[in-house]
Amino acid sequence: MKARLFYLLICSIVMGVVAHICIILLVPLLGEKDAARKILASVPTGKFEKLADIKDIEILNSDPFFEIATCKFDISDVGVEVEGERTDLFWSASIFNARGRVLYSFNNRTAIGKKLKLILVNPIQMASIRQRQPEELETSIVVETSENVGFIAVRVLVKDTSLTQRANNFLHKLRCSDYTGQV
Amino acid sequence: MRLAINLAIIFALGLLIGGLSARFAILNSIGVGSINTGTWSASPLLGNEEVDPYTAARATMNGSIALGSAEGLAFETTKDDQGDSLSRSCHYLLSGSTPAARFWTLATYDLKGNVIKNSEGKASAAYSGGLVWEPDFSMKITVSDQPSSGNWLYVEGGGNFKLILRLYDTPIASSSGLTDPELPSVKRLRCG
Repeated sequence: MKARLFYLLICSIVMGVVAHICIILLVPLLGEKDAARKILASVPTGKFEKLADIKDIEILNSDPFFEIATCKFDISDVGVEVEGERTDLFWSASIFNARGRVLYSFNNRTAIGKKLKLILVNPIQMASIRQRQPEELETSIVVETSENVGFIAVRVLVKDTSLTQRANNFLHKLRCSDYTGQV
Repeated sequence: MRLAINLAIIFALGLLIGGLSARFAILNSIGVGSINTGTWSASPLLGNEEVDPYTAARATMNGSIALGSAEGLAFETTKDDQGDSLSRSCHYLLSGSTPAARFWTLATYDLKGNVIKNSEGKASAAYSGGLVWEPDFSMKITVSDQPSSGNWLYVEGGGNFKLILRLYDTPIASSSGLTDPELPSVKRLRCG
């Protein structure tokens, strides 16, 4: 009897270890709360949309002092160019891949001339940019990634309600368009 | 028959052990990529590509849009200094200083991750630029359902809550936790 119990316990623990590993590895693939999956499913490509304006999207644990706008991208054919107006509000931006991992992030202090100007390209498009050396390289942050699909999230600090209008204006005027290489 | 019973027991017990331990590991920020200071913990690699499986699972369960390292770093706590869960029927005092950052925000959430709001729909949260500071540049914030002088965050109702302190544009987001950051203490004043 004792031997049987011992045997059962050992086997259960081994089974438990296997289940533990499976659960940990499966959560990112199947988790329903995943923000990246929600965003990719409901945000338009090539256009910034404020998360607060999108119905049926609930992002948990978000900072109440921030307004966020996101734009989905697919750079398999052409790169993406993101541009925002100059503002003295605090903003920060991150580029995410389809699994919600940050590929690149920056804020208004680390941006060139404090302006949100970003070109996102894949390695092939990057090679062509290097060849042509276009002028906008001097004023834009160029990010190269081999992840073709993902999204860009821009956050603006709204420290009190008097800034809401300005923050919304900034987010509404954000461009997220194809980068054709022409100035 | 006996084999079938054995297998069923192993399967059930194994799933229970595996499930509970996985849940515990995710909820308690166990993993290589965490900075733990007191009861506060942060995962600077939360959004990064090369995360350990625990941090990746936690990022998914968290359900938020992760902060990139150039954006900031979020510290979370569900417990007070004594290790007791934060309860919405108790009064707490946060005091101390925060690591260097351009500014920070502190917000209260229910355990699902929804911001706690008052009856007028205003989030129970504080912004570092809008606080009353102590003469020695430290801060004191009361978290309670009763108005209090100085800085005050409103929480009411039942159940537990958590605090998230987000440091924006902070050097510690990229320092991979070589030094322990100094974070405010969360002291329980009284309950009820």
